[in-house]
Amino acid sequence: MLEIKNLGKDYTTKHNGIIKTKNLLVAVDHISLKLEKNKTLGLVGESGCGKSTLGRLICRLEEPSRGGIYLDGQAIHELKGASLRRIRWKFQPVFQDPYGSLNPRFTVYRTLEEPLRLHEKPGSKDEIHNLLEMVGLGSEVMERYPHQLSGGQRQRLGLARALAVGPELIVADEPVSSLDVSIQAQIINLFLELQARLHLSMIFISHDLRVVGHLADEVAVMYLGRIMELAPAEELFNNTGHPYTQALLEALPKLEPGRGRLRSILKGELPSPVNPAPGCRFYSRCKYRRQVCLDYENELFSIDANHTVACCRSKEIK
Amino acid sequence: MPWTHAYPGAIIVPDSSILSVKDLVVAFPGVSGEGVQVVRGCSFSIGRGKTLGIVGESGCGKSITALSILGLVPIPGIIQGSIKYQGQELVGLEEKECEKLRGAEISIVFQDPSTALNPVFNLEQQLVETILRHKNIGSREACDMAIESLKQVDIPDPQKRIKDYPHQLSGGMKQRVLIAMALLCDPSCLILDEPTTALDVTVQAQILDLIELIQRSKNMSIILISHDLGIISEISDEIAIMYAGRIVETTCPSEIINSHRHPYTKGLIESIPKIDSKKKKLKTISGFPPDPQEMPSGCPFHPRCTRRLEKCVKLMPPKTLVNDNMSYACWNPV
Repeated sequence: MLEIKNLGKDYTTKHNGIIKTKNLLVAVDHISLKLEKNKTLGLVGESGCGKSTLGRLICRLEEPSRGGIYLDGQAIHELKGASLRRIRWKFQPVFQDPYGSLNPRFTVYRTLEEPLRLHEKPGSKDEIHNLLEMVGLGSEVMERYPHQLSGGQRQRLGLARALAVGPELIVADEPVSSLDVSIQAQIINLFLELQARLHLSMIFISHDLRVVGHLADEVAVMYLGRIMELAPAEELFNNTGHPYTQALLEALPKLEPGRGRLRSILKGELPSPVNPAPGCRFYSRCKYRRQVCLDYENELFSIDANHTVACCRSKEIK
Repeated sequence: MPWTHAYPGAIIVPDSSILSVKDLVVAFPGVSGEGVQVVRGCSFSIGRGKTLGIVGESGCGKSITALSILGLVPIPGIIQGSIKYQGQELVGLEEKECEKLRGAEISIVFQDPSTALNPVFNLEQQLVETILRHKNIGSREACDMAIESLKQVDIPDPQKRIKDYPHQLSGGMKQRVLIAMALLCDPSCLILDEPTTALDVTVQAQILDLIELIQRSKNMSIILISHDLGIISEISDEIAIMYAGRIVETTCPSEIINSHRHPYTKGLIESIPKIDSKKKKLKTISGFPPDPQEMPSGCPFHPRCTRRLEKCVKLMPPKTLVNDNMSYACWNPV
């Protein structure tokens, strides 16, 4: 249903000191993915790994620098202006911060009525009532403003707004990370329920492997703009192929006594994506690095059916 | 990294409590005159070198509890009950006396590392200010101490980084600086209020490792506040689960999964998504935490509870002791 081919996005950062310099920041590079109808693809990685940029590219909120995005065979990266606007209803974003992404001057009614009007699907009050009910909000919130809603309610509203125009694909960027666990679980259930009911395809972006593992059929682990490992969720956790995925799993807090356990395999922080050095992107933090890794550009190769890894030593270190 | 004991040869009595809080109530007078109770009778104590984890959802009063220990409850908040630090009563202590303790004996690391540092001063100025406030030493000596403190929290190249301003540091670095700042005067009790909430899992793991390492080397007591039961289980010795201003269950990491008693604890555990629980519906706690202004009658959890009895609506359940470290407050425990 959705196919991404060799997608990349660069930014240039200018530094106007005494000497003017221009730097190339490669936010997303060589991304190829496929998503089938009614399935969920999870994107995980540390902040700054390019997962949000990828989400924004898919929603056409950013212009790709290279590569293509195909939705049902249609090249949506080539569309512009009115023709892009006409097709936007098919893919809708849900953002992390439900407060920042809702207009504080719009009531719930107006927030939901606007997308319907813009996409020439004018909705009656009944329709908006149905939308609210679908996401578990009562119609008593219809005339309220975002500041009068709780965090969970706002996230439900953000989801209702995305669903208003009847999309085929939802791109959800960290939709549950600002919520309390009990509310988070309610929203995760809502996503699962709506996906089954409306036959949605989803891209679910999160830094929390637990959430992604729970929701996604397939998981892509990203590091510095590249995909490091791509596999069905279960396979990824039981048969981890990349040292970075390993480190992420190890760092997860477990629900058991952990006194004295060493949790951090990874030292230091994500290196800067500006002017990246050649060789494996993960080289600087990898404990399995060897000379060969410097000549390896993170090409993905299969280690199993449906399981691809971007590590040239994956077989040796297993 | 090797760690050494702060007081070699010192005899440490493991369970002598360093801080004990009894029947703590924090209220804010409202317009109606009645006042809103945010913390409603909390009691706990913490032993030397031990970690107490306090878990709860936002608004359950966990942060206010921490602030009341430091005498930082914002005006016009009123504190009742007793907070004893090494035998000294902190409730009703004069501000001057409080200032002597705060930072030197009991220290806190606040939740959001990007707002807890002052953006217009560099690290050196902020660290040195803290030292000079508590110690009678020269500024050059204080500066050396500040560099040493950054080294302790694994900040690379501390001589250079100390001239940086907060915006030049990443989130994880800022959190390290805040921990360094809290440790400057060798406090015996450290309060960590959601220390890793804004951080990536990998950085979170590093910070948790760091906290544990420092605790061991200094035999410090820690109160760790978090909404994430996972983090709490990782580094706590004892766990207190807070709901609507009260501690509803106390337990320990080895018991929490299999022998929890309170339905709220059960709900919290079940709402955590598991990596391998593929696409199953999560069990959730329905509804949301009560508004402190409109507290339900009886047990405050009864409107959301699946094990509710008639009695729960009318009567507040008393604390039931299981053993020395475990207790719960529920009429119909799991």
